This record gives sequence, C-alpha cells and structure tokens, in this order.
Amino acid sequence: MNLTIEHQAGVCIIHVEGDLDASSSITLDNAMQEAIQRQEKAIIVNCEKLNYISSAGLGVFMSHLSDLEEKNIFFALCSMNEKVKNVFDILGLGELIKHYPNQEVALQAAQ
Amino acid sequence: MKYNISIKAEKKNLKKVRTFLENIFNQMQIPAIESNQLILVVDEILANLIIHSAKNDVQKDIDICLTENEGEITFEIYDYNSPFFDLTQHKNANLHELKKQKRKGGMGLTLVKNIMDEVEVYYEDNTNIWRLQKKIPYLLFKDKNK
Repeated sequence: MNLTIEHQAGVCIIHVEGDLDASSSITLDNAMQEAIQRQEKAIIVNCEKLNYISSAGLGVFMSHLSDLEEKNIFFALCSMNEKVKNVFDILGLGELIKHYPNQEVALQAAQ
Repeated sequence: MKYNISIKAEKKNLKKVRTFLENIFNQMQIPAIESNQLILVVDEILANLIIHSAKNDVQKDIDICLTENEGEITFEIYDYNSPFFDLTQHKNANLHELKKQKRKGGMGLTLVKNIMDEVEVYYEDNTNIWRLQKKIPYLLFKDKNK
C-alpha cells in the first residue's frame, strides 16, 4: 500500500493506493494521527486507487472518529470503488463516516 | 473441486492467500463483488488467528482448504495447538460503542458472519477448525447451464 498526502484549499487529502489490510493499516493510522495532531481543518481520504480494504483498514477510521469530532475536523472518504464500498456498506459505516463519490464533491462539502 | 494453501502465521502472508483465492475465483468466473467478499472473510479469519491465536509466532502453520460443490463455497481454516474458540460468545460489532472506545478492532467477525451463510468452529485435537459456507447463485446458474 502507498500513501500520498496533498493539501488543497486548506484540506489534507490522503490518497491511498493498493491493499489496506492488517499488515498495512498501521501506515494509514500514522498518517491519520499526524494529520489530526497538525489540527488540519479537514481530512479527506481519497480511495480512488484503493484496491482492497479489510476491517483493519476500516478500523483505523473508526478509531479516530471521536478525536476528529472533538477537534472539529471535517472527515470524509471519497471515490471508493464498488468492492471497497460494498465492504463499507456491509458494516453500515455510512451511518458514522461521511463519503462522497469523488474528490471534488468531498472538497465542496469540506468548505 | 478442492484447493489448499498453507501459510506461516505472518501478516505479510495475507496478500499471498488473497492472490491465491483471487486466481481461483477468476477461473470460476465469480463476479468481482462476491469474489472480494469471499477473499475478505478468509483474510479476516487469518488476520485474527495471526494476531490473537498465533500471537505473531511465525513458526505456526495455518492451513486453508477451499471446496466448491454444487454452487456452494466452503472454506476450512485450521488453527493448530490453540485453546477452543467459542464463537457463540461473539457479539456483533456495535459501531457507536467502537467509536466511543476508539477501537481499531472488533468488526472482522461481524463482517464474516454478515457475508457467509454458515460460520462454525469445530474443536478437534487441540485444533480450531473454522468452517465457512456460502451459496454462490452464479455458480449454481453456471452448473445448470453446462
């Protein structure tokens, strides 16, 4: 799995590429933690190139939700492919995590 | 048809199993979403066994057996030299609780139970045998039209 971090319109965008599983989720966890510590005003995880996600990857998002809320940091996922979205939906995570079809819409929501 | 793969209990081997299963499901022409779900359930069980049962003991072996019979996929996963895992004690994840507790874990088995038709654990000779079953409508349809 590869992560690329960019900033656009004051928003931290984490691009995730490859497989996010029990072996690689620690890398994303560190990136999320650092972004929260930097007090970013918004964090968007772009999943366009994310091929696979397991509960370990989704668990990273879950574990930071309270801190994100506490610090009033906007958080969302975007551009999930069908397979990734299917796993997200099976757990009903849409109830807790904002998600958008593409980065443009997610950026608009973050403003 | 029957397929087997054995791995050492290391997280880096999760990808190896996923690729092995993906190739088989591609040959069976199982649609991408169903194929991903089947790969996911095995990945979840293996990750749990590597972290909680084997405790990252890389010498420990885990065997995975996949059978396809009349449109039904069955996985058997062998977790050797382990205390009995009582699946009946498992409660499905409460997302709001997990959020409150800032937990990273706790959703894997819920995913497995939501995806598969049957999930059972048998205990024999100090071994937990996980048996996961699911009917794949596409495979039944394919068999009927042979």
